[in-house]
Amino acid sequence: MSRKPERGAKAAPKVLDPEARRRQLRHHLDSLERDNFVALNEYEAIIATAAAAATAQGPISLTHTNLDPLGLLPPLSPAVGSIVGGVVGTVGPGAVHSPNSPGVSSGGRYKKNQQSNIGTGGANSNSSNSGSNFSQTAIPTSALGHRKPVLPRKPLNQLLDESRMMSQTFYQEQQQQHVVLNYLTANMGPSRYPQRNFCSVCGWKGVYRCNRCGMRYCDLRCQKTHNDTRCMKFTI
Amino acid sequence: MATRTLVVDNGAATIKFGFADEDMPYRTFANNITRSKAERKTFVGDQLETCKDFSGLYYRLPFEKGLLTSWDVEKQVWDRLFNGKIVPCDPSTTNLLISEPILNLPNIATTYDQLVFEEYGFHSYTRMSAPQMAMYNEIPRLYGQKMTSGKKRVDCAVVVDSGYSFTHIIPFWKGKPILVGIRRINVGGKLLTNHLKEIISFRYWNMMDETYLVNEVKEACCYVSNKFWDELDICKKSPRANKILQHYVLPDYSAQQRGYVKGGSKSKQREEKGKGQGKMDLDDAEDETNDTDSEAGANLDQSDSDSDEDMSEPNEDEQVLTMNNERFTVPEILFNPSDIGMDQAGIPEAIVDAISSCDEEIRGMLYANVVLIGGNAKLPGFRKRVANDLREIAPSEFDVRVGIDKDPFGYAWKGAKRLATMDEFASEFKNRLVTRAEYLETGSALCESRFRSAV
Repeated sequence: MSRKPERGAKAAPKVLDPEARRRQLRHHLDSLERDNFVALNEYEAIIATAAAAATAQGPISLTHTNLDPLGLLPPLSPAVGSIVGGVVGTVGPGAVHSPNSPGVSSGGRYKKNQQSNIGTGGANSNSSNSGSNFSQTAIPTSALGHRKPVLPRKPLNQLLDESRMMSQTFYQEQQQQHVVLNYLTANMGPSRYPQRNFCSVCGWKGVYRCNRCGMRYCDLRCQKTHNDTRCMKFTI
Repeated sequence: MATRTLVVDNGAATIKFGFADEDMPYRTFANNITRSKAERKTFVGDQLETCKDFSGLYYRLPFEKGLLTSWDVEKQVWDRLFNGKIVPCDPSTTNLLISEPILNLPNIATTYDQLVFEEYGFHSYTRMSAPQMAMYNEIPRLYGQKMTSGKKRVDCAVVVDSGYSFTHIIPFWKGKPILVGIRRINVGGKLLTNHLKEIISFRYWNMMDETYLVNEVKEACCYVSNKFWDELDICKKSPRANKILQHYVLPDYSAQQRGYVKGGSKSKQREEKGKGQGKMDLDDAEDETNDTDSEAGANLDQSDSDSDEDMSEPNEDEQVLTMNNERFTVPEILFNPSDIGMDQAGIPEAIVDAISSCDEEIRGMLYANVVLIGGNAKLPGFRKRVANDLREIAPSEFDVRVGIDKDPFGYAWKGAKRLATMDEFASEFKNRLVTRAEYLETGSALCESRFRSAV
């Protein structure tokens, strides 16, 4: 892969190879799917430790302890994993935080929470923590009186896995069908036409590519801006 | 016992709802829980209308990748809706017609059933996907024709539903979706807004926190271009020759609540809608300090090549966001997801792919009846672009017609309302309903089979 750094932890590689660029792209696309596209660098440490202590297993009732009594911290936004194949761990050890790339901070945070929330199956365990944050500060939870329903709180990937099994058994029963159509298979395939490239700085035609990181630019001015601000500023 | 029908289009971004027997148009509010950092308050669903300060709004959405996973969030929103706070709704005497995502997962579908019957206790309900609701409209009207007499609905049509989470292409035959032809493109309003946020934050002001405001900006300034490369070249010119350049005035809280587009002439017959809220930070700071920062700045300091800002009129306290090629390159992602690196085809190609997987005999009819619905269809120029692109790549022997309603956002709701009220559909509607008694006896499997096989 890339050249190994000679000393210590954080010497960044000089050139990104295609594999790293692909990872970067995938991470970027995943981060575009997030609900709250916000850099939460400074909350990371607090929340990671709190998350480790919070109760977050199994079905939860609507009222449970929360981490943040004053409701000052914004809840963690769940980093939604890639949907195809239900693989959640595409995000690597994103450690460098930079204000220009908030998606990366989610990667870092994501990894930490994976470590700290083993019981719930990873991906969206934070959502249960964030549920706790909200229920304290907000409106009274159950307006219904007698019963408080226990709502199944499963992360999306778990739901997908379960239903895939269901559809497979359905398929075995129904053997006439050649194509099992469900949420996953309805995905559209790639385009016939080649990709159009745009300058990552100004948005015009991106004819040239940066040697190191592979992002596109259109002219010398944009190249200079790119080198000053974004080149190799974050690694995945 | 007289029952009323409540029609609810439960979308990922907004809920459209209304009683079927009333003449009023549908009402809509956001389907999420938002928290305002500035006001330190939380708003459930429509309480957002009472919010004064929209900066730094933090969202909690019940939908994730287009499927309803966060039930406690959704339940809170539904509590407000169904418990009579917004509309006088008494669940025990109400039929509920609710929309679900296309290709919903079975385990999520059972949770819908559970919640509707066991929690709220509706008298009966049915659920269908939004494009299916839209099929009950008089589709030939979109092309300036009347419905053939004697027929209740068109035999076949292709519905392109471009919403918040995704864009789906669904061909219909006699009212039922042709399953093999369903295609999904993972580009929706959320992705467009996030992408726009990122671009703006890199090029102009840091708006990474301001989802609500950027959404407003997107709705006010963005459009779909028909001559993409030509317009991109225009954007490179100086502001005097650049007709595409637009300024969006960002509001602060003290003087104005809403932002607007400066200089209405460029905005393609869109009035200066008062929309938008939010604050700007000059640096990419995490803290949301207020107007003091913004006043100090000039109009743009981080601007790049294409935004030469000498056309600024003298304005004392205004902060202006310049929208140049972002106006049309962002919606371009719907037509070419490969622009940002996504390995999927765009809408016109997906339509061709979907129709090609259907039977040969009906392909001609499908091409002639393409309907666009959903929030993204409101972008100016959307219909024309889809029609042009589709005409280019569709087989030449087929006639291509693309139709769009005046209000694509609520088209599905209107279709569902017709289903619930019109006599022609009455028997169909009744066949689809599952009453609470039946559910308590048989369970969710009944709902599943009835909703799938009906019509």
